[in-house]
Amino acid sequence: MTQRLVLITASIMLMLSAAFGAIIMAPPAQAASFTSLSNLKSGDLIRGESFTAVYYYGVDGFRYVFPNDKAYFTWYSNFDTVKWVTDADLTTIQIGGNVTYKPGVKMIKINSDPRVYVVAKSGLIRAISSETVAKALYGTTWNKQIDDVADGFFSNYKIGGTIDDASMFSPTSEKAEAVDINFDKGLKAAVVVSITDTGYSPATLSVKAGTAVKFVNNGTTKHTASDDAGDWGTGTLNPGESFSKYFKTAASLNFHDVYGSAKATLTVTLN
Amino acid sequence: MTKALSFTKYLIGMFGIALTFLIVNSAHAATTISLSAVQSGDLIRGQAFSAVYYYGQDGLRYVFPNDKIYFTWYQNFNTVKWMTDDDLAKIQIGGNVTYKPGVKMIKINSDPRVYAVSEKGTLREIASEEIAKSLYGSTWNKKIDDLPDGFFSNYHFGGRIELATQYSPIAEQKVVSINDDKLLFPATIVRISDAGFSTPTIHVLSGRAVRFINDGPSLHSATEWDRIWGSGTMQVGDTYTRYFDVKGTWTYYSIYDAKSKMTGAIIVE
Repeated sequence: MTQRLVLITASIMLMLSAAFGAIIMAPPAQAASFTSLSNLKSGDLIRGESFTAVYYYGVDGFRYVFPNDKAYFTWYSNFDTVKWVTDADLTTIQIGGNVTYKPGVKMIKINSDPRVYVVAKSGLIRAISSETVAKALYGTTWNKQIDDVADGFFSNYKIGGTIDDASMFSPTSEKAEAVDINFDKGLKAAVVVSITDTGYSPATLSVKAGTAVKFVNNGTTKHTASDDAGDWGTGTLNPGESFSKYFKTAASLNFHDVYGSAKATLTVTLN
Repeated sequence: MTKALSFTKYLIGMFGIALTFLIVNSAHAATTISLSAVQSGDLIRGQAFSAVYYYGQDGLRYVFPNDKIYFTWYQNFNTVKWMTDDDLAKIQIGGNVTYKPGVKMIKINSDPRVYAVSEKGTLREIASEEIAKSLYGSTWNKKIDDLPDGFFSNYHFGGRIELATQYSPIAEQKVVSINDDKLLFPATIVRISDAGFSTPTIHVLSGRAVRFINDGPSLHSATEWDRIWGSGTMQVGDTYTRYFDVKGTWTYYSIYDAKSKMTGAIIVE
């Protein structure tokens, strides 16, 4: 039987360079121009003016945080395509979560656990059972291809089954399959509910659990979408503003506009 | 209607926040405690690294993302227990500790909104400066912490606070422990011995944990039929804990034993 792969050395120092909660970009020249919100496209890399953190703009309309530069560089080789938006615009894009390592590129570990993991789709990590397996997957320099992930980001990952045999994982095909972060995270476009001064459109809708709903104020006055039970709400939306929310569990939800009499029903179904 | 509370002035300070929180260089541990002596609610750390963890009722350890979060729950490090690095490694990480409800307001630097914290890491936007003042007094603006973007997704959103009566910092602070704040429950235990799984079929509620313990004397595992999840090789005394969120039935076996002899089922309901 093979022994569990243990890797305590080599892994220690990396953590401290993993910097703060967001990736820091090399000081770039001032933005040539700002991209307006309406010109942003799914898959764009964006940043604001005051801070250098770069985000991935998902097809669901949320921005996703790169927890550090190492995670960034598994997906991109440089910052050439980063678009600048104004701080005010960046603020209006909600944070959806953290980007995880691109599948297949690197192995990861945390400093308080000697196990070494490969990364599969959607941040699924799988422990490698032995050095022999690691070598078969990543070659003789396998031990130079392990990144330390800070404890605080470990829970961005889910743990899958152990890899006891090299045939159970292919770094090459994992990489090839992970075409972009939208695919990796399984993001889908949000379902839009338009709010006008006469009410919601649609006023009755059904979405699958795990879908984002985007409430857009297309009216001329303030509106909200506020849960009748008080569990969630958009807050006050000025004309042109929007708010998105993921609905993850099956439910029948009634909501209303605190600035008017409009009512609507949202049904969240299991698949 | 009041304007959204905006606070660009208080953005600085984020860079002072270390990624994983480090305890002040303390005298070396007098003694380390054994794995079996660790109890729910203990604060623990290893030898090589100074990070402190909360040991939850579910048998998992929870990470303090930084010192500010730690100090909303504890005033000092006096009760931290030391363990060997080997023992610490055997305790899986369950997630991150969030701010204690009611103590501080938080924001992130790319969003001017200020939030109050409620149970289980629920953030509730504070609609105006007047409300912030009536909740947190005239020094309210000194009670806002900047949370790094990368930890923002540890939180989820609750309803906006449009009236001071909708939130009470004092009532919120009554949550006594991280176990209570996270609503952690003890895991259902399945013991593994050479004779098989102690309770081959178990029923658990969705959102609860199952903990496998290898009583030996041989190597065993708890491995899902299609290897979707698994403990990997378990030495004698090793444990493996997993949360089951989706309703349905999982079948598992031990890769070191004949499937005919050792299979189990977890019915999540």
